[in-house]
Amino acid sequence: MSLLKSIADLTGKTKTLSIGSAPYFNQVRNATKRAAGSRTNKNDTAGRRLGPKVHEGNFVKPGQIIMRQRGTKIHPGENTDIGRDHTIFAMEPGYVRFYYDPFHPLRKYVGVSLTRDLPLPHPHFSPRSRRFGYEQIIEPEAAKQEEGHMSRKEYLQTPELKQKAEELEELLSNKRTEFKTEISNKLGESTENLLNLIVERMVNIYQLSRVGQSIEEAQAQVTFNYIYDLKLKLNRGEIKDADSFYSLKEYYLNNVANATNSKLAVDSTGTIFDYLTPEQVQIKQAEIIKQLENDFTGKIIKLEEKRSILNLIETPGIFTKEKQAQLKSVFLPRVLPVTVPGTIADDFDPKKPGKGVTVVRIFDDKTKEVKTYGRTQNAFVPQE
Amino acid sequence: MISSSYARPLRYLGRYYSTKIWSDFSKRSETLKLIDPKYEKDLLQGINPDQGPNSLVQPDRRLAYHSPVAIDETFKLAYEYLEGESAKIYAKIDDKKSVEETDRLLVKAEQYNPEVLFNIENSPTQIDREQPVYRKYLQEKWESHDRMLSMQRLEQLHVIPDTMPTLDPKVEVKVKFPHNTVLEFSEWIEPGTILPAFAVDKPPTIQIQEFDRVAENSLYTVLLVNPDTPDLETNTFKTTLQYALTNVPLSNSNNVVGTAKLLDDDFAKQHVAREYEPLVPEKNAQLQRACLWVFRQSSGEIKASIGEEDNFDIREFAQSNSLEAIGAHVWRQQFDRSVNQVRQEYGLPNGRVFHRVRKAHPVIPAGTSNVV
Repeated sequence: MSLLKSIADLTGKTKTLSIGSAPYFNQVRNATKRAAGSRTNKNDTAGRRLGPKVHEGNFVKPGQIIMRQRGTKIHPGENTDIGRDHTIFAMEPGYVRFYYDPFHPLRKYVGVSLTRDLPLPHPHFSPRSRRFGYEQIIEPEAAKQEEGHMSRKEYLQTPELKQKAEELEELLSNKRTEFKTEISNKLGESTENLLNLIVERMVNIYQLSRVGQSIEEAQAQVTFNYIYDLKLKLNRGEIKDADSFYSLKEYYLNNVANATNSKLAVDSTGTIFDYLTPEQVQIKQAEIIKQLENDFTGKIIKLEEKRSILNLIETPGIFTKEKQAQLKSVFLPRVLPVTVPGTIADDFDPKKPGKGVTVVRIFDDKTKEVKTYGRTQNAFVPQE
Repeated sequence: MISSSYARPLRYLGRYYSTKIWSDFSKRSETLKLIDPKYEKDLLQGINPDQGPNSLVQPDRRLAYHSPVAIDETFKLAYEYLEGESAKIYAKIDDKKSVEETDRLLVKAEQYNPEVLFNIENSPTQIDREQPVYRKYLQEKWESHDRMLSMQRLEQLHVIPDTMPTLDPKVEVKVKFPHNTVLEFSEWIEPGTILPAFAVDKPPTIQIQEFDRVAENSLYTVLLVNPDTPDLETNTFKTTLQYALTNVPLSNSNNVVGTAKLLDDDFAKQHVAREYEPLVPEKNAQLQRACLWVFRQSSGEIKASIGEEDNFDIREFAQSNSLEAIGAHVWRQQFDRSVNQVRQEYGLPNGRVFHRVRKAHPVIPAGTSNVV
């Protein structure tokens, strides 16, 4: 437009002067190279040789560098890792793949695919491809040595574990001899083999009841274990055929398991007692608690009474350990309540209580005041 | 209110004084009653001031107990209001309602019943799992911790997707090995635990707790696979099947496959599709995962037997038998000093021994020669 206008001006057809539109103006900055050298202008470094070191589809070994970069131009993908200066290197031998990951659409990744034809990233829901990488030791001598090799942790723990195993074995062998005499007394005549089977069964039940299984659970588990071991023996060929397996199984079920289940039981302390059904146990529990309430509540407890209370509470096979502890806290308190006759001294001077009287101050909830009692020796349950 | 001689508030209402819905067991299940009758009086009638609450064990603590101020009036008001609401909900239940709708209403009607709440809090192992309200509280408890923990282990140990693609857990799966005589190994196993070979040398007890109502004789499949068996030919891993139970009928309350069932010959014949074989990792073969998957059989009984192939494809098996994965569990094993003995018991050959140091040999694609 402005050119047309200026032409029009020149031709003199119009006399108006154009003011609003400025002419084109290109600013030019000339080189201003300093003539003399300066202190800060000599900082150019050599190139850092950044960039990919291997390319798509190339084979790499573990540790081989795939990419050198400043920052993460490319992120480490599958089977690769990133170094301190963002160098990406291979973790597994395989083929280099540059790819995009749909979970991070703005990133570029480089990964190592374990086989030539496997694309990356691996589909999200399909199994990972993994390399085993360990070589078998063929030479028997070396293999044996390697198998015997212990980590430091295992080496240090070995003596303690061995000692514990020995202690357990000693405990169990003691139990075996103990059970053997008791069981042969209870069951009468039986062959040595059968007696050993029963003793082993009771020892196993004892072990299971130590980890909190009920007597019925433990009985079923021990039967199952025995039959399972028989089956493994059959599979190994140590039992001739299926028939002898079945006869052995029947023998165990009839003569050992079913014959003793309803007669013998053992508790977690290793005491053998006559088996009681859960219903019988409930009845017995109620009986014992009633007896404790009738005979020993509100009365002075001497050493003799204490022993019979303990005997009642610890009757084998009746109460669980927790229940026993609870009953002990109820029926064998350290100090008897003031309501028990004969535990309170009638006349006593709180300042000089005299021999055999202990002054006790107790807050009374009813009257909201602290009362002072003189307790006789009988108020305190004897400690053994 | 019982007029008490001193300032302990006493609760005085409940079953024997009310003939309303929560005291009526002609239509409601007896299992909604308090399980431990010892607490019945304390909860519903009032605490005997001479004995104190039964829930406290120590006698002196019992006697020192005081109820909160005005607990009786508050409790009575709340109890009567909630019982009334419950009665209204019970009135809505009839035969025309669908099973899901009935269950939903039953939960709504019982969820604030003090007896139910006391049972779920104090005797969670004894409750009746056929009752929708108890299942609801069990599910809440599971979702608040155990489900998250189990999903964390399944994802972080890559059970997902190395065995099955993913899992939307519907049931609580618990596993224990009850033959163990050490407390450490005889309890329920936390997912991901590393176990020694001797602790797993007999079949596990598996509890599968459904929270929705289960139809009678619903069938389930349980598979135990090891996706970390070394495959030296290809220098990768293959999956081996260690244990398979198929067509196992379970219900909400009958939900355990354990010693008692396995002792039964008929059960073993009908349902054990693959005998149990524990994982016996070889020296330096690293940690191996025992992945236990529980499936619902959505199209009835599985008739086909499981083949003896070397590499078990659990995904293919699940798809071809239209199995729906509803729960999973995982434990881990590595070579230890009891592995050789377990191998001997099961009649397995001696394990291979691998170099301690991992070599850089590449994976050999299946079907190619050993030359890379």
